[in-house]
Amino acid sequence: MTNAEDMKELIAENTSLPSERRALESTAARVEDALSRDVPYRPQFKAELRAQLMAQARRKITPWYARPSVWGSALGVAAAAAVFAIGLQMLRTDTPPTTNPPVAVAPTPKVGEPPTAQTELVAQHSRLPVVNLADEELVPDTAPSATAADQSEQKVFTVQVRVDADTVNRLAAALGFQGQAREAGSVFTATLGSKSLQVAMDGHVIYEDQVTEQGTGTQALTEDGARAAAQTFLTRAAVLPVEGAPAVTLRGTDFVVTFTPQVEGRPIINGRTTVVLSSRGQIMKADAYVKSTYTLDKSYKAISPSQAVTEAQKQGGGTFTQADLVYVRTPHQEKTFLQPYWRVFGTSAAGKPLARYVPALIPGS
Amino acid sequence: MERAKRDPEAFGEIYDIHFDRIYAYIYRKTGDRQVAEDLTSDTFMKALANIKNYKFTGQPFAAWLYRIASNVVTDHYRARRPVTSLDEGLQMPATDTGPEEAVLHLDDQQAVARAIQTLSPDQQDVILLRFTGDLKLKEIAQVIGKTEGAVKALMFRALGSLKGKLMESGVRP
Repeated sequence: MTNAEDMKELIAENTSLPSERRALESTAARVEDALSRDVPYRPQFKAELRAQLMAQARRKITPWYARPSVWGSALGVAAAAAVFAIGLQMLRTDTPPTTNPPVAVAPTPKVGEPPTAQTELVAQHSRLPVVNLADEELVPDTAPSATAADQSEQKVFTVQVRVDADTVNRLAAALGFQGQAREAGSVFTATLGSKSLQVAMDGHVIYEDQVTEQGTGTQALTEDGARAAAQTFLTRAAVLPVEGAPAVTLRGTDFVVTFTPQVEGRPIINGRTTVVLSSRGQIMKADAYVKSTYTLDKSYKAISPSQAVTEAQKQGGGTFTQADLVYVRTPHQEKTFLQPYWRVFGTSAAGKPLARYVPALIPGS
Repeated sequence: MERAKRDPEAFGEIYDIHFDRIYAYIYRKTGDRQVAEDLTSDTFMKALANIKNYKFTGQPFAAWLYRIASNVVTDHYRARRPVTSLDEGLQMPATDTGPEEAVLHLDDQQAVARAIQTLSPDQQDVILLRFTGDLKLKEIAQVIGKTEGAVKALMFRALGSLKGKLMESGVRP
């Protein structure tokens, strides 16, 4: 039932006079017309608020069983004393990822599956935040073999990232924006016509171009061309990492080029650089973190692969057989950590191949 | 929606879908762009903070968001009496109509906006949620915490009142 029909029915229910009915229907139509008009609107506001929300969301959307704990400051200071810089630069173009799975599609939700059960293994860690990662569907029969790992001790790193007005303005200028980026809350923004740029204080960068080039619909770009165009774009951006051998997938007619940074030879699963290009080669979107270095924070005891497999099954069913270690960005307050997670391979309850992520550290270790 | 509880990007998609209507609803309630920006910001921040508590009960997600927005606006007015006008929101329609017709149209819009201002808060809500939010009467009932019958009565009385006010303003129904 449409709005107008609904209103007519309501009016008819309440008055029997045809002239009164017509007058009220006309009033409803006038009100609808008046309220359908645009309201005063500052276009930048939508982008600014979105950037603030996304920065907040990355901090807030954590599993209920693993909310960030209060920092033990003394412990933190003691641990910091043991820190040494490993100077790992993200700008590496010659080291292909060795454990990156052939992910076929973007992470998908487990719709309708029960919430994760609280267990001893993944209970709140003494000082480290945990993020919850959605399962990733895998192409059937292409799940990689899990890489054995020494589960006794695993390193946690802190991400050293510098986001200030100079960095953002350099990035904006390199991407063709003019003038100074605006700082709104914890996010810098810049807009130019159909293009927008958002840079959060944790280094997360989102570049978007809302206007699609007009084309004939023919596939003008090849996979190699998409890969090269993405690398050129990121190199021009200067502060964005171009690390490892990029994977190229098709999303509709668009190309998605994904670079996966690594630490300790293991992929950082939620730290990828993604560039979306139209079939004509236009950069539609880029999602990345600015180049960072990582500093060793501390080593912690980790659960074993078999415990991870058990945990994965508890977290929503399915059958899992093997696991390897990956790293995950876990922001908390002003800091971002790189924490080891077990990436557990198996099949969902519906029989689809997937990878599920389980925090690797033993609470309080 | 379940995905948005676990995935920030999914929450971003929700924001993209609902921003325009939530902003317009709040703007129509407050009549002030700056206040509308502040309250829209509050609304989505509260939605983010409470997304984990959201449960699908057969109503669209928009109804849940409007409920938050409605509460945010109510809280704002509890803290500070409204002194703004809806007139700022009345722009020349971007149509092919000639200048004379456009001015007439603008007058109609101003008259409608002024008439809506004279309604009770509940009547304003049912009108705005219906015509700006595109919610069904049953969904409006959920947002404002009344029965569907009460919403129908509010809507009918609001239309009657608007008809009278528009006639007083010289706008033919």
